[in-house]
Amino acid sequence: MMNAMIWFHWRSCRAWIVAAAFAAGALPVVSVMQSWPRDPAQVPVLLGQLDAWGVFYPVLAAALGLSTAVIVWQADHRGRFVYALTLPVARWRYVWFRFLAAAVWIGAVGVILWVSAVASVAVLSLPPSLRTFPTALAARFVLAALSVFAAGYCVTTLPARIQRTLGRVVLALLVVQCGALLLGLEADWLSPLASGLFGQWGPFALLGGRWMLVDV
Amino acid sequence: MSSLAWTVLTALQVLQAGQPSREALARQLDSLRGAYGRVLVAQERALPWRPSDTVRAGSLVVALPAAVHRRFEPAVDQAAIEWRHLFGAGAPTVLLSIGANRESAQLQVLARSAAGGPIVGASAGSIGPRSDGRTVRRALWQALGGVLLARADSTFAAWLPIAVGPLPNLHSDDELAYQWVASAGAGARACREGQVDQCGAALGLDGPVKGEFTIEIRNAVLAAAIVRGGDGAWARLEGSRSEPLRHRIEAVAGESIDGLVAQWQSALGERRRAAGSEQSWRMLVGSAWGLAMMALAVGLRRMS
Repeated sequence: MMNAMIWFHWRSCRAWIVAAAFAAGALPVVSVMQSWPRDPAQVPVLLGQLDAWGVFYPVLAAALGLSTAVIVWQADHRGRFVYALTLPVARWRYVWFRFLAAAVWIGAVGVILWVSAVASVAVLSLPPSLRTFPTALAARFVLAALSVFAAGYCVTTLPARIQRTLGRVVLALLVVQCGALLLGLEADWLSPLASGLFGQWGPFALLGGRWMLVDV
Repeated sequence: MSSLAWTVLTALQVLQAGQPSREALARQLDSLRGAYGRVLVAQERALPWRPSDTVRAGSLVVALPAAVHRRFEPAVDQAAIEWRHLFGAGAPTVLLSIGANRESAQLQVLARSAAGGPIVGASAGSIGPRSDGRTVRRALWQALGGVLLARADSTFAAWLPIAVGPLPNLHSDDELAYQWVASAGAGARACREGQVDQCGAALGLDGPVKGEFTIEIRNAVLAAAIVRGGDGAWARLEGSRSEPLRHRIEAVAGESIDGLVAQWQSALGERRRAAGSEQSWRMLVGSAWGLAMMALAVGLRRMS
């Protein structure tokens, strides 16, 4: 059953999976594709550049997690859940299999990132004071993408009416905040919300902090 | 703007036929400083949102627009405490003025002498009206650091020619770690590898030889010396002008350079390790949230 779900997920989302795999494979290569000089005086500049490239890892992880969460039910909606209802499994187990199947493909993208990161740093001739972190980076990427996917999956599993209400609340918050900014008011409730979500204790804690493939 | 002034000065030196005398160069420098000061004043006058309120905290007198008064007051109070800490009881009075440009949402800090004229090099910009306390404090210290540099003797100014506050946390630990490994010289390498008796020379404290460590590292070591030295640390530095630089920094810290650098390096490593363990914690928390949300999703579907 699990195998069938994994291949079903591949058939319905392969374009997204391939795009994410391509981006994940290219990111480490592009970020270190600069000449690493033997002069250590240049190290801070290069690490600064690498730090700037590091922003793209959480962005890609969030995009992968979010897009997977959005499209994971699309095939079922299109087929009006006929396929799901023909399967001899309980609905909650079907939800669980769906989640695992998507997680497997997120993991596959993580493996591609890891291979690419290992290969990228293997060809670098780095000063002895620098260390490489391909495995930690890839592990963090997978966990970050999974945490975003889990949150998105939770929301997409909600009944459509509650989803719409949630969407309206978020939109209203954004509109009111933009209005307050335009009127020059001090009110800022999005920043505390963002720090709650992305801070040390938040559900998206993994997206925060620095993402360094090479560091001191 | 200041870089333009220094470029002009350098160009003047190059264009001079023969070796210019020290006095001629000093006159040119004074003239350029005067011109730059006038530019700063003109810039401030052109700001549409000018200082209207005054905050007095210890020896700091800060003129600022009423609109940012409440936001800046805590940072000014904090800077006043730190300023007093540097000098002890005899902290000199400093006037700072903050003008704000409503259109570009940028604020400009300018330090002035007791006579009211601007102190060249003691200014800072790029603060948005919504900047957090840390950014405001950094800008105040950029201006105050310029005041310190203007008061410093030539030996010290040659060793640390940047107008940044001699306080910790102005550079991030990551920036400092990058700078720490960036010095290629044999002395710097030996210092990094634990031969602390090499650190003084690598920092450029032992004579006319240029140090191997970058200015940011020197600034961080000086900041560590001030923190360890306690009250009146900067006053001790200013009061020992006739002594070698190494002894002066040791007088600031109240301990040897070797010990100071070793402790600074170990504290930096400790803070970065703590940041690393925070990342592990984030991984744990993020995974726990992911599992909780997955369980919620399964539970929701089970109930529906």
